[in-house]
Amino acid sequence: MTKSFSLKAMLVTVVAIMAGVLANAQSKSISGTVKGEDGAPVPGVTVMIKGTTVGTSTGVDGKYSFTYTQNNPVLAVSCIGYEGQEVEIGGRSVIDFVLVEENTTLDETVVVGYAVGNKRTITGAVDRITEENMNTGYVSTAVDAIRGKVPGLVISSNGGNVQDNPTIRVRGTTSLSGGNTPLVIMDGVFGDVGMLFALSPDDIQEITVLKDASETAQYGSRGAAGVIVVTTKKGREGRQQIEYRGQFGISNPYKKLQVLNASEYRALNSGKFGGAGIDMGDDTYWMDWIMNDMVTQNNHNLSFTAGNAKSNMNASIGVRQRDNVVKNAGNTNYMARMSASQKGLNDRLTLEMNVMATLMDKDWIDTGIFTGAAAYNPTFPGHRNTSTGLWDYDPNAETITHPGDYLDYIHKESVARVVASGRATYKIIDGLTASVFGSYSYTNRLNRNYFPHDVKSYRVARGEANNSTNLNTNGMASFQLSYNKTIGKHAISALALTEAQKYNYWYNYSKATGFETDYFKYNNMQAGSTVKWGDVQSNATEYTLMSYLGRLNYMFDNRYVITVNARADGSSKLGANHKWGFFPSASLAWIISNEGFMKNQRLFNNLKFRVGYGVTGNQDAIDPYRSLSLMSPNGTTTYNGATVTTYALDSNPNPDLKWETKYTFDAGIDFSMWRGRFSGTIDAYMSTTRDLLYTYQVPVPPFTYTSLLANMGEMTNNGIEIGLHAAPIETKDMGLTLQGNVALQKNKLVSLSGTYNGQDLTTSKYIALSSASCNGLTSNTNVVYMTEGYPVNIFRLPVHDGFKTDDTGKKTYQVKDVNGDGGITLDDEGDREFLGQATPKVFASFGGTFRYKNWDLSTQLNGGFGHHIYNFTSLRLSNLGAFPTYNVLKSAEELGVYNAQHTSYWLEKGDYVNIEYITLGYNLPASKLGLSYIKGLRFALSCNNVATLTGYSGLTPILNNATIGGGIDNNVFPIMRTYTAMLSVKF
Amino acid sequence: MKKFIYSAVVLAMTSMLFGCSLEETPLSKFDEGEAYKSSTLVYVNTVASLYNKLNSRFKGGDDNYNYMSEFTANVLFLPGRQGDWVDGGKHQNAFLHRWDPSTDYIRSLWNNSYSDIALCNASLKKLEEIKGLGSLDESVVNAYMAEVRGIRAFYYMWLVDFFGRIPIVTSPDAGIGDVKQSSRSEAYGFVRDEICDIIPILPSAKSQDVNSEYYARMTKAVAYAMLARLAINAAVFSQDNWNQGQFTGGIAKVEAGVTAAGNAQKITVDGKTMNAWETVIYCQQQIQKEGYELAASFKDNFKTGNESSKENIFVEPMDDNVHRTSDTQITRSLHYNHAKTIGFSSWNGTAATVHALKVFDYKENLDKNNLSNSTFECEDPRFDISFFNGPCSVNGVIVNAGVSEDKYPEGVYIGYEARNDFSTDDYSDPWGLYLVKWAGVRIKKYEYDPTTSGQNYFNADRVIFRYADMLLLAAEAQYRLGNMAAATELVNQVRSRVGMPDVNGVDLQSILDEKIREEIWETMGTRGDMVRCGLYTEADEDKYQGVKHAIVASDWVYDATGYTTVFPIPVTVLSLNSNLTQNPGY
Repeated sequence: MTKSFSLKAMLVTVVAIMAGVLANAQSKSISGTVKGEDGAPVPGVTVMIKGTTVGTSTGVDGKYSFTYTQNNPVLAVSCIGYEGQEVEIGGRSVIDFVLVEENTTLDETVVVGYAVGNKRTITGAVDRITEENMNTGYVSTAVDAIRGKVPGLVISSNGGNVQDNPTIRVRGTTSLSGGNTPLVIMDGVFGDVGMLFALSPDDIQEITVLKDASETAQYGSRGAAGVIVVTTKKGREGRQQIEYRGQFGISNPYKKLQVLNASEYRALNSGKFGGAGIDMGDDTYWMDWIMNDMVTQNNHNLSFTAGNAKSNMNASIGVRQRDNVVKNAGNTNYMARMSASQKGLNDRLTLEMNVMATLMDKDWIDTGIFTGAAAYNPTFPGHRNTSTGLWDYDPNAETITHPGDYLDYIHKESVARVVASGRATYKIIDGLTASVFGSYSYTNRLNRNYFPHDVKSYRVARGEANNSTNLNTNGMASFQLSYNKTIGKHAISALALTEAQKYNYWYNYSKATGFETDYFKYNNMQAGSTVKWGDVQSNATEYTLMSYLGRLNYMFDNRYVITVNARADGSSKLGANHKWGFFPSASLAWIISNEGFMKNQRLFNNLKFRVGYGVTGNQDAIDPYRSLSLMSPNGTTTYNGATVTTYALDSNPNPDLKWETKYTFDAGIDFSMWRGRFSGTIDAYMSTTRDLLYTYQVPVPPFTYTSLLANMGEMTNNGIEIGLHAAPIETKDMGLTLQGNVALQKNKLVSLSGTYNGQDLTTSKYIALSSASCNGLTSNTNVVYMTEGYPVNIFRLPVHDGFKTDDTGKKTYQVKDVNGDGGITLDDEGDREFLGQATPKVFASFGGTFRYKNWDLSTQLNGGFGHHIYNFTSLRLSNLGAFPTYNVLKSAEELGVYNAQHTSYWLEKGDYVNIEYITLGYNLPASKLGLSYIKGLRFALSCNNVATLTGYSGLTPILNNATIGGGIDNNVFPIMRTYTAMLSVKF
Repeated sequence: MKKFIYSAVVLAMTSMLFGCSLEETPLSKFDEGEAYKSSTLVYVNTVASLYNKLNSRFKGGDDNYNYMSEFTANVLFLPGRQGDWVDGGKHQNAFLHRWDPSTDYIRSLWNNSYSDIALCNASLKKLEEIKGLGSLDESVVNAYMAEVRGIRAFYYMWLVDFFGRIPIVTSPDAGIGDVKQSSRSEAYGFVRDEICDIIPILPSAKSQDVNSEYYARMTKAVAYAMLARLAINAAVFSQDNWNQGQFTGGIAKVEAGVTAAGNAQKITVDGKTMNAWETVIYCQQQIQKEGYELAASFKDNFKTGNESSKENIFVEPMDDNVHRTSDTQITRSLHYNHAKTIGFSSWNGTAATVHALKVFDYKENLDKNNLSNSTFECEDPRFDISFFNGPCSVNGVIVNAGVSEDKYPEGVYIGYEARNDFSTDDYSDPWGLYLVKWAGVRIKKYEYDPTTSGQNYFNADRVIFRYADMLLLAAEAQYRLGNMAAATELVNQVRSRVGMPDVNGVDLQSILDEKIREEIWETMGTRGDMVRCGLYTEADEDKYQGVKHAIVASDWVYDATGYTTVFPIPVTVLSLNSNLTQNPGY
């Protein structure tokens, strides 16, 4: 029933929008001035005939005027920060208004998961970023728009890399496995972080970040890593607008690795190295050679919206193009989105729909190109050999790949995504509504690669083309009953929900080698002469989730609020006896400012104390079927004259597999002082993750394979988050707002033991999380570890014990005999020490906006403190032992080290502050423009990545150190500084 | 309104039911219910898939049986060539016997072997079930079970050799608590009894014959070859305290003790009880009865199409289409320029040790001022078949040296200049970089087929057991039993095939040297031969005195007790299972 109904509603909506509101011939005019309580005119106030799209907004002088045709109209004024007013025109032609500032913003609607509440009734740690307080510099994704805005939300990327999506963490690493990325919900649709990158920041109305379990428990088995709730822009009653926003940027890398150029290389080669290195007589500075001096960025977004009392719509279309700093790499995203709603059945029924379609096209570059470019002999020519048509390869430099080869590889990725959802809400009786929600998302990732037949590594195979398709679909249906009622001093908001989701995944891969021509690239696989067993593959998985949720929010006398959530989730991915999990939470808030004893003070206009406890889960690390014993193809053989495929058990099954569960306690204070001039939020939390999911090393025998996905161990995360906002200057012509936040995080791995099939399992004492290796480096190349009693990402390195100088004056790294056994062993348990954590202990952010008349200036600084970075790039490129075959840093000769060895010598403090952007904006008053159809015009100039303040000696301290095993400086993209001109016009 | 609520509720309920079972039905993998549905699937999934695993145990890498056997036994090594191949000295350490419980290739060899054993155990359990069902002929199932036990015994044989005190696990249902170490003699006894048990059941087919149903599978001859290898080492494997100096100090010191220990070992096969040495000879004779003999040409055993060789007893099948196992051994060895000329890119690593060159009596007269005046000679034709040495030419064109061409115009593999580590070499020496990059003769032996789809794919099967080795094992056994004439005759059979003159008598040293010349770079257990002869722990002038070793690899330390004749139990294995203890000395 609902399906056909919503289709009809859609049609109705569309028709209504197309036709507009039918006009009557009789036109009358109305005008007036809108002032504040202080008597100053208020610009930008919307003045409309209620229930229509007829109206205007006030100019800088607070004046408005327009004509209308309606009979007995009601004039409505509205403006953010002020209380709305309505008045019957009653034949008048001039009506003035005095607006009253809203006392607080406490009654703003906030989307808290499935529930819609307001700030007053929120009892958990929830941060809300609306369009107004998003970042203003060059912003290319929704993630850029909120970077640094929420204490405890860390967005971390590897230098200036724009091809990989950044890592997002809410309150740090709470899991050892794949489930650390927050759940993203867009307009009710369960998505992934990819959705955030696909969405244009221009289309976002607000983003709510749910941090602690008292609210994330609504999402039960997937709430442990936090939840980011995105609400896209919707049509609003009485608003009709077309808006264009554009950004035009140019970027260049502002710091590059400093290796020897050709003449420096020659000098060192012919000096100390007796001319042993090959001199091809050319001069190629490969680091510059692989990069573009300047790349462009372009964003365009066109949106239009209309709304009346019955129907609303909002649609947008956009394109974002961004080149990478390295040649032949970049991405372009195309987006189209539409949302519409329609009321019917005497306004009892509301139908809503949202459709978003995006396409991301990427040209990838292999990050190994940085190693290749840094270490390649600079006397080699930067062009192909004219007689052979090939690059000239250094015959000795076999451990690196020629930068030209990297540029010749073609990696193309296209991600097409369609997300559609619809909701029907029916008001059964006053306060009680029922709604049915359905959504479907379709993501198709297509990868196409070609390796030409004349590049070195593919010469034997004579070229390779491979194409793959990853298809993810996700269908969801839910039914929800909500009840909202205020009776005297009692305000109740309750909901009950059932939900079912099904995820499907399908993968297909094909590869061909043996190309005699590079003409076809990946476009004609038949041009490849060789296809072998294993060159064509496919696989598929699916899983199902079923859920039940009950939620109650009760407020007494505007003073005491209690929220209780109870969710049960069933997942097909888990072991037979662990399919269902229960995730409850409870939280309390005490609005102290509403107490009688606070009545006579003027300092606080809001003071709220919150406390909550809840349980959430993580199942994202579990792939389907991991609890089952299954067999996959492992080769072919001949049997009875025919070739047959053989199968073997493909991994250790774990029939005990269950949720990873996180228990969080959070206490917080929200306050607002001096009529909102100074406000803030302080939160402290303690969370414990139990049954940690991780692919543990298990003993062979008795296990068949060395790794097992199992629930073992325990980890804690404790922290304090402070977010402050101040508006010290707030006049008509001038304003200054400042905001800052600090998040302190302490992570600790408490234990790493558990049971499997009733047997106690323990892991190795020191579990290596990441390693770094290059030619000439020592055998145990592990760098980042985890072990009980320490934070997860901890550096465990041999301790630098000075240099040994041999009789020829060559220096080598010496390693301290830490355990004093008289010998040096570099294994995990040997002569190594814990030397600081990779993930910053403190993240801080500070920003502000200064406004003078039509000008505004804003900036934001982000920083991370208390961590270390392992400068592997410098270690690798300082090894004179590898010279002259491999080029070295300019600083290498002075350092004079002739080997490569992991030691604490290259472990550096990583503290930094990055000036993210400075933006200067100018809002051209529409009145000055003299064009009545233009409602607003804004120009802005921005510089992103203005400077990084740090003591770190490497390329940049901005690394992805939020991931498990992060914190090693290796093949990091240079940071790009971007200059952007921005334009936005509203019609 | 009521109607609406009802409809909504019904709708919600139906949406819940839509495909929402929490049971999993895998789509691209299957479980046991499906995996043994036909007789073909039974064979494929209980037996054939095990061979696919076994084959990958021999491919080029560090964690294979070949590396452990040859690279620790002073016949092959991977020199640290300035920055290249240093890898923290792990390869240099293999040469210097400086491994420790955390050495990665030791760990992964353990894990891979036991992983395959676990699959064998699962197959045996499954076959037992299938036998109970009666759907397949019982004799067929019994034959499959014998075959799987043979594969498992093959792994255990290597593990007894490498690790001594190993856990014997025979059930897929064992828990961590059930995994307990056996003494080395118990583990040896298990392998011996398993092989002797299955010999009567296994078929008398030719395993190397590509047209046979039993191509590259366990046959009687393969089991005899395994037993011969086990029996020749029985004197070593049966000793639980191997670190009492009984395997150190050279041939003269250990010979009598080992011979006596072999005499004391009784093995019962085919109803006959013999001592270890007699068993070796018996196995060689049985293999001969199975139709194996020396191939007319030594080279035939390694060429493309070597399936026709009657000498190869057990092979790792290599075929670019069906049995595709990539093998990087040649890639790891050849110099870049040389490989490039024959069409692929290589890693400039593995070389023969100076000791191996001396065993071959390889002669090298180097004119450093003009390389083309240098001479490189070896009387033994097996040297040229096994190695690229001296000036390298492809189709008559001498391979370029690639470094400062004015000084060194030719690419010449200089055998005797090979050293374990070149990191202290000075480039200011005009020969510095040249030696670093070109020193050491390189691996050749197996024919490279340019028609394969990639450089690490071959159409020449890799030899695991070969009849020539059986003859040399029998020669040693005859020698141990005091039958000098028989021993000499067996060695001369092998020598005369390659045109080398007969010898008038043999001793342990000469038999061992013959084995190296015959079998270098095959997985023939040189390590075991050297342990048995008391040479494995001994330094010689190339390995120790006046030889530059490695900055990172430390230096050779003389092991007088013999604890290094067995590798350490990997540290991760010990930390994950507290029932297990480290081998003595580590």
